[in-house]
Amino acid sequence: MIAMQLRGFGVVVGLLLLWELSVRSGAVRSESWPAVSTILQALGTGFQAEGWGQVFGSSLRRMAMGFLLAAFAGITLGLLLGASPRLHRIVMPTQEIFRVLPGPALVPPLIFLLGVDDALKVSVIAIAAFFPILLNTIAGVKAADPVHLLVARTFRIPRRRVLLGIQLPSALPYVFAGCRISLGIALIVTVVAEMLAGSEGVGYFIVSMQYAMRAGDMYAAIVLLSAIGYLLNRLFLALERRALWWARGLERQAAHG
Amino acid sequence: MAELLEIERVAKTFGAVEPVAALRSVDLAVAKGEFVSIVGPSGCGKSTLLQIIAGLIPASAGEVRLSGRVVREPPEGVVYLFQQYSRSLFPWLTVAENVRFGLRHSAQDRCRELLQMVGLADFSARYPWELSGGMQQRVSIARALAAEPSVLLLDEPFSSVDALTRLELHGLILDLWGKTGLTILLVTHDVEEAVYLSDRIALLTRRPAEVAEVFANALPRPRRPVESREDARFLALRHELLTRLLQPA
Repeated sequence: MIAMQLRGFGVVVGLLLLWELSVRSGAVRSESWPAVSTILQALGTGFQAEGWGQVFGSSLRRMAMGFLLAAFAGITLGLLLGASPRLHRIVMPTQEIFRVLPGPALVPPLIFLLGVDDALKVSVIAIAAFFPILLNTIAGVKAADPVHLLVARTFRIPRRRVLLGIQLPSALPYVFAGCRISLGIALIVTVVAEMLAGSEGVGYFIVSMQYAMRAGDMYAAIVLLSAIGYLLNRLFLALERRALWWARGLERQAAHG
Repeated sequence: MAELLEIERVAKTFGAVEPVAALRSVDLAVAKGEFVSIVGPSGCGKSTLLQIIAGLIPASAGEVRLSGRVVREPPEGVVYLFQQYSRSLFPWLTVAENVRFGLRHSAQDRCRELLQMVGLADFSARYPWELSGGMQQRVSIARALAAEPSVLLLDEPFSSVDALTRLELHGLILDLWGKTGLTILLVTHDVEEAVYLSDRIALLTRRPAEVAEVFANALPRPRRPVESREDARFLALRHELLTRLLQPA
């Protein structure tokens, strides 16, 4: 397992070395193809004037706000729709129409309504990240064990307590899976929204560096972006493992009969 | 004696397009404090009958009355104990939290008392899936008692544990029954279990089921796991019931 991981890591290092060599050997001579060492230098100096904190801080803040809004709305609505088939049938067509719209397509019309600042970007991020969480929560609520619901009935548990005490925990594995998908979407949409509108954040930075022909800084931002995406996913998986440890225990029990 | 539970001409048909009759017409009355078993061939609709009595599913015809009141929804004071203990306990709650789920007000002392009664005082902080099948069923029994029921409906609660654990659980349920004055209605396909535990046994026919006959059980109490099973009265009733159950249709 560890040997395989090391080998995978070796492939990454090999590719980076090849890149470095392609510049050093003079095989590729281009302003837009800086050596890996130059990119690392740019990372080290923190994008010269702007600084990483400046560039990434605002992006991460927007992404977090959009994601949290999506999670709150998606889980709340998902619980209600999952628990009420009637409500679900009424809302379903609307949901289907909006779900297939690519989030960034909403940027131009929303600029009319919200301007080009944070309100716009956070909204677009939240809308795009909302649907996977909503759909997964609905599916999770519906996947609650029917025996659990019968137990609730024989104990005459009020509806609200059934929703929060049984259906919500039953849905959690699905909710987390939806949130993880949405986290990736939120990062993508953050960068795209910043590229389309506004004057700060990593999306804006990458585009401006391209215009300014500062390829080293541009690649440095991309490298850092990929590292941040990786870390966020890892962080979320760790959180998920902590929250859903009972589900793993249950799986183990099922596996052993 | 005043009847606590009256089941009158209860029928159940499933499906509208191609209706399948599960219960033809079931009549049975259970007095307060009685331990009555319902036995019948597998698939005869025993569990369906118990779920109708519990108010979990509606009857197609006839009615169930608890203390004279018609049962339409799960009534207060009636708790249904499910066969699938591993699916009826909540895996995200500890043993103590599962028991507290049944309590009307989360009285810490009462929870501890109940776990003591079922012999699980030391396991309150564990999770259900960490326990053996027999222990899990003890937790569900404690949780059922937490609701302070006057009637306990048992749906083959001992059928998915091993034979020795089953005998232990029989002892536990008789002990709790003796202490609490509960009325118990047990559905089972295990004739020995029915004879060992109950005061009376209702034998159901094949589907669509009716009560074929109600047998009074002369086996004296207290019942003892070994001696009672060797008693001539135990053997005679077992013989009669098994013969009837094995009769070709």
